[in-house]
Amino acid sequence: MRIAKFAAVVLAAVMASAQPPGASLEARLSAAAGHLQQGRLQQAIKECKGVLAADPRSAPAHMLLGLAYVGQGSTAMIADAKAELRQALDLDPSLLMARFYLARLYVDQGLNEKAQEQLELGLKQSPGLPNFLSLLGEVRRELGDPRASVELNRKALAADASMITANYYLALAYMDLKQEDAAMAEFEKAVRSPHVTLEMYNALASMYLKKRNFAAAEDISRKALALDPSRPDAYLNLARAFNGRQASDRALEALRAALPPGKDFPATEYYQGLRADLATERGAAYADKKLFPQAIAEYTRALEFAPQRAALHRRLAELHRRTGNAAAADLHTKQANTLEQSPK
Amino acid sequence: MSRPCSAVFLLLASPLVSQQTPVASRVRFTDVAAESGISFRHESGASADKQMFETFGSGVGVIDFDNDGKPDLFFANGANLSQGKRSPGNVLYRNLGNGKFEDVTAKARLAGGGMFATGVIVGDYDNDGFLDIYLTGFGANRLYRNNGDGTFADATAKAGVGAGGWSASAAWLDYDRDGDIDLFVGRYLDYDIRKPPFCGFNKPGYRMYCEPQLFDGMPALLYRNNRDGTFTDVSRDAGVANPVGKSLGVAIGDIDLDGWPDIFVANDGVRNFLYRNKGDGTFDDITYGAGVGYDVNGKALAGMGAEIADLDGDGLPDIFFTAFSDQYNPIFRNLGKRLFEDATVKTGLPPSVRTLGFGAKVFDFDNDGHPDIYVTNGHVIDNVALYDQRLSYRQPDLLYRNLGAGRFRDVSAESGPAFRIRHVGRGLAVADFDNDGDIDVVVSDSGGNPLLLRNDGGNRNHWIALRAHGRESNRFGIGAKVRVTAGGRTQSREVNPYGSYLSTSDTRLHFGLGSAVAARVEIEWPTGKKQIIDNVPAGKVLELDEADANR
Repeated sequence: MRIAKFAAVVLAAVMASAQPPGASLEARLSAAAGHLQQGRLQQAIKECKGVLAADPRSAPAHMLLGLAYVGQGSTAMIADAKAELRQALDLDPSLLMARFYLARLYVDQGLNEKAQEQLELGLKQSPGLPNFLSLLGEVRRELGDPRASVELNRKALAADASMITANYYLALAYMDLKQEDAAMAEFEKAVRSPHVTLEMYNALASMYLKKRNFAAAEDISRKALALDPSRPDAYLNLARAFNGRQASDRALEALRAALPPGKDFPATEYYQGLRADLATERGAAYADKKLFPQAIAEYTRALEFAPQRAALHRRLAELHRRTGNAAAADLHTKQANTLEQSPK
Repeated sequence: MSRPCSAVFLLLASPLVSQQTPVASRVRFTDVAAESGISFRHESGASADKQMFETFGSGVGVIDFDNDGKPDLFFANGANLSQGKRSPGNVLYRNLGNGKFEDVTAKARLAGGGMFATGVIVGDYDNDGFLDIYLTGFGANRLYRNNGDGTFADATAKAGVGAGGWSASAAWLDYDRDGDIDLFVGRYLDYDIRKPPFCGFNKPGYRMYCEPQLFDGMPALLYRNNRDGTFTDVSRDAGVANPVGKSLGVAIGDIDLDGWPDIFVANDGVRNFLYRNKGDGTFDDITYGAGVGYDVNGKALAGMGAEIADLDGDGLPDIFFTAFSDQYNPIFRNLGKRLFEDATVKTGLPPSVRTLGFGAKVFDFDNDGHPDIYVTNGHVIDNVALYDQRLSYRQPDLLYRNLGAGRFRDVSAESGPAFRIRHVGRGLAVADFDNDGDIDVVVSDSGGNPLLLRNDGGNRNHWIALRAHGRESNRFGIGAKVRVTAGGRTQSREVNPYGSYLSTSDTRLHFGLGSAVAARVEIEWPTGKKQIIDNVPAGKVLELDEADANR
């Protein structure tokens, strides 16, 4: 999550709302905001905690601490970030920056109703704020109303044409509305911005993959990885781009980078799907290299994570048939048929 | 008062010290619940919906409800809410004094009316000399007034302490020192039973209980006792209504020795709270300054049960709490001046534990004069082994022996068969149930039968126990400070049966004396009155009456 672009606004907000009991606290708050602006998150955290030790009711200090936790970008810090932002708002409900990032965290956690509540409160406090409008649009899309997202994000762009998250959210809404060309146009606007995020690259790469434009998908995935070389979803897209061009060795290399030894993922449905996807791509790469036992092993591993995927059974049936194991092939065909016929 | 060792509280000299050295005792704990007649079984409500409260367990309360000197037992019970079922009910056991307990729930009218009960908080809120019970729960809380005749009456509506939401540990404390006990209630998550989110892998058997970070916290409640059977919610004005709290453990103690009880709240996955009582009806959140909010790496732990106790004998109350598997159970040593240091490793406790701790109690199991730590364990995720084979749902408990000066050693393996039991420990309380001079342990089990762990051998060393009878102070002397000097050492404790997790221990204070055969006892009542009794012989329960105290 990007913090720096809001840092100037944060600093201004802090200085406007800060009323610490002493000048030194004011200076420390200012220093914390400065650290945050420069991405020196640990120093920002230290300063904020220092201020809170002296003045536990400093709303700006709670807000800055929350933003510093957000800036760490770790799922492990989400609870702390939310706690600090909520406490800031409890002490000073006018801190819009805290409200916005609290809403963002709710969105990240899939708690869209809670995000909506915060965003609507913010817009009541300060109508027309483009970042609130835009995120509210995305929340409405997540809640099943992409047309509302289109309307709100257009409003946001009318107020601030440089707000590329609005382009991104608009693109997602167009995708929901099956308007792929419009979506592509918005994604491409978004990724041309200096404030592009990895999610934007990933979304565009997925579109290129869907259109079988593997070279463009590779290019965009590499740009995503330049932003954050630890992201497995970007490596997955890269591997798909390689597999699409039968560059299976390069695909396997990308997949190894996605899940280096010792790396573990949270036990969530999202990561369950991601691990199934990674194994599926490994299976495809091995199959392409005619290494059928390895391919079978990988598809079987993918099934462990995603037992409901009929397509995996189909591939396994095909591979078993090619390796002469008719019984296993029949079994997987039956399982695929069952899954395809069962209601979702 | 600034320090406990003022001129009034000088150490006594040799007459109280025997020539023997304390017995380096081999104490064994054995589960005698079944043979004692305790057949309670907890209903966790575990279901395929994986509702968060199903992991919570319920607490246990030690309550001498009939004042016969034999500690009785009360178990709170959950309910299968996913199937819309009411709780099978709480159970009150009367201690018959012969190693047996009798179920007297029906007569006492304490079954609970089907509520999903969690915490058991025992205290005499109306100062009538009989201990009452406050039950926290999921959905609502209840206050049961002890009628003094073996029955209880639901006083929730009149008292106005029904709360709501999801309450966890709580404690009675006389925060305004006006002579009656007030009520602090920790609350956990803002949770909607109608919308249990899906967590874990989406394949058969893999759905798991969610992490608390997916939910918002809830503000704690502070109810001021109006002395007329009613209470006023003063949480917000008092400064303890932080909306981000995910309270599991609540411990009370005067951490800065200014005479006013302070509150420590162990939160699950967000920073802890240390509320300093300013003495004017309000509290300051001094967590950041005190350094007790986070672990050594600046990360919030998943705090569970909590204790405030002087672990190193320096007269300053320290903080201990339990935490999640692959975290650690930290000791925050009180350095004075409202500063603490994470002294976990220094004290010999491990920097990481696989077990997931819930209830914890600081008490002197071997009567050697040094308070020890008991931790009950049990994971929250019943299918955790599917995700991490190193971990298990059922876990053994831990016993850390205090070797002196706050150094600890894990003596679980050598402390009897109790520590070979793998269970899902939650609530934990202590009392000398058989009145044989050593402290026994009771542990509640989520979805199972409780353990009643008889202490065999702790009484090889000498001991004294104290029962406080407040007059101007609250009737059971909650918050009174007691210092016992024997064998050249002084131990400082407060009359405070709370802490741990969802549970209440005996209101009597128990001190191990090692080889000393007598002790000097000093008590400072919540009113500020003080009392000193010399040459109290070991092996007795001393009745301390505030009427005998002087200003």
